[in-house]
Amino acid sequence: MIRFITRRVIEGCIALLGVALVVFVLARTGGSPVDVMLPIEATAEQRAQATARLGLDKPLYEQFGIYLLNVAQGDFGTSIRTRLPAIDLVTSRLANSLLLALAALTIAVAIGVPLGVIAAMRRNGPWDRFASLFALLGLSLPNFFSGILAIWIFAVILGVLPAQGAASWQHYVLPAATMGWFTSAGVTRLVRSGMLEVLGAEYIKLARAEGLPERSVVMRHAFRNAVLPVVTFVGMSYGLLIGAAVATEVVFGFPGLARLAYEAVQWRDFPVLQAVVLVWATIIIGVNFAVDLLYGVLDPRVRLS
Amino acid sequence: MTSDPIVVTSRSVTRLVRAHELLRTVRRMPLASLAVLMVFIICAIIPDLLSPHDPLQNHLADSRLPPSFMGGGDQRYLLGTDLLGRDILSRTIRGAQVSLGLGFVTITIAAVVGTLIGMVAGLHGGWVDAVTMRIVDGFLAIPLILIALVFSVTVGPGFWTVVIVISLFLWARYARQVRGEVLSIVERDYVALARVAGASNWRLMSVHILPNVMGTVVVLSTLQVAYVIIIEATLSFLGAGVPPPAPTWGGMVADGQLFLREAWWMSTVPGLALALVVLSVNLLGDWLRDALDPTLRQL
Repeated sequence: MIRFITRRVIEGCIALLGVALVVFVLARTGGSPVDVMLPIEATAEQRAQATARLGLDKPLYEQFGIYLLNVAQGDFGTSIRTRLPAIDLVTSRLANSLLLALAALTIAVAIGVPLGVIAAMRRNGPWDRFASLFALLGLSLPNFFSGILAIWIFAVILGVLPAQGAASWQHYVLPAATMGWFTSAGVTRLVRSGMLEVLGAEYIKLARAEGLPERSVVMRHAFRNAVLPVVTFVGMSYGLLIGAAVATEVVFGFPGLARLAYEAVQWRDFPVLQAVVLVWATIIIGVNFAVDLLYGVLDPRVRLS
Repeated sequence: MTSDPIVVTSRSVTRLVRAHELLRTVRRMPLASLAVLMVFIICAIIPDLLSPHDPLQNHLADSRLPPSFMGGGDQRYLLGTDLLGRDILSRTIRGAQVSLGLGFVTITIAAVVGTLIGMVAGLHGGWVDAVTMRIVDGFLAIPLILIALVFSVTVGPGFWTVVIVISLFLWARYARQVRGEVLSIVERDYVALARVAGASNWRLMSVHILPNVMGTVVVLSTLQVAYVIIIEATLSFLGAGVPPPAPTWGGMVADGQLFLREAWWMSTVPGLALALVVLSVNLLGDWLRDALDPTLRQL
């Protein structure tokens, strides 16, 4: 167990190093942030000064080395656009993003799991048809379009929910529902196919033959075994949701990590972009690790090694 | 020796069952999705013959006219006009070119590259396989949209930028799936026999393995079309796709976003076209997967 954790932590650090390198190289191969910062009429001398001040005149490997050293000390650099510490910008948005992803997942599970169970129990019935239509629409509507439809219907026509920002819990409803719909489609499909598979198993027949009430057969015996792949999916989705949130956060003007990254790209604000991606990757790796640990608890057959 | 009557009967029964299954599969083909897709494919091939107007032509006097069937609509513009008075119908028709064309090109590149790499990794095994799979894992973990945004700023936006960024990530899905198939194919007797007969690795791949993974590649491709179209539209929406003035559905939705109250048709018409295409592709992909390769059902 301890060996498993140690290995995963080391693997995680290597992965983070790889992510840092990729983003670093990608960010540097394009234009210089000096072009965005200085006015067009700036002289060559002013440009050289700005480049030197930002340390952009040193060789790439040296820049990367300096960067890693600083990060190890908790210094992620200074935002080129706002002149604030990059990590402060990230932490100010982090809570919003984590909360939004959590809300979206809660919606996805709250809708997807019951819908999948009902669909599997009443196969080919009206609920099954509704579930597959719901899932198909969720997978087919791009987030930015379902988001705009949601704003149009609930904010513009009905005027019941706010459309922009993150000032109160009501502000989370529309973006979370938009992102949650897409994820709940996957949850619904997984729960349904998992339940169908498990309901045909021998031990379910035995449980029924023993005369257990159907409710107990479904919830105690079938559902527990069908839910395992869903745990993996939901865990993976958490990381994906923060990443896939770019379009949703832009549509809803939501002050989250994804929009911070989007703005950082447009301003070539390398330090902020790198900080966002690193924090992001840490969360994804951490969540995947937690899911693997949880798996061992939920399914005694899984040996963590 | 005369043929055994029982064997003959069982063979014909098998044949009958097969024919019946095939018929049932064909009958379950989602015809409506097929029809929708055909319409949009035709739009993508000959947009100029179908469009009532030039999709790039401004008519500033006709800015934000509602669809012709609504009050205040103009007979000349069936689905209304946008801010610059451009015909929404014509722009939606031309937009099919980017969505479907880019999807087709991207999938082709990713499928060819991914299948090749997957076959080599599966056949070679050992450290080649291990290294390739770690790289695949890495590519599957990086957020595609963000990297695509960085590319569009550093390299510059455009059709080929989008194609390259998406295929740069998409090949990994093919490589992983194909590699898994190859691992089981390599264990079969006919591959061992071909090896004994002195077949080269190249011959093994092209003659013995490729035909056996083609089914998976085709099914996987239909399942990826929807993904690629959504990614392209999202990038266009964020201003990192094919740049204006070329009409893209994602870009049109973005243009209309600020005018939901006054001119809802600007966003909803291209958005609905997008949703229809993706929905049809998904239905068709699900059907093809169930018909050809039920083992992929978990995807």
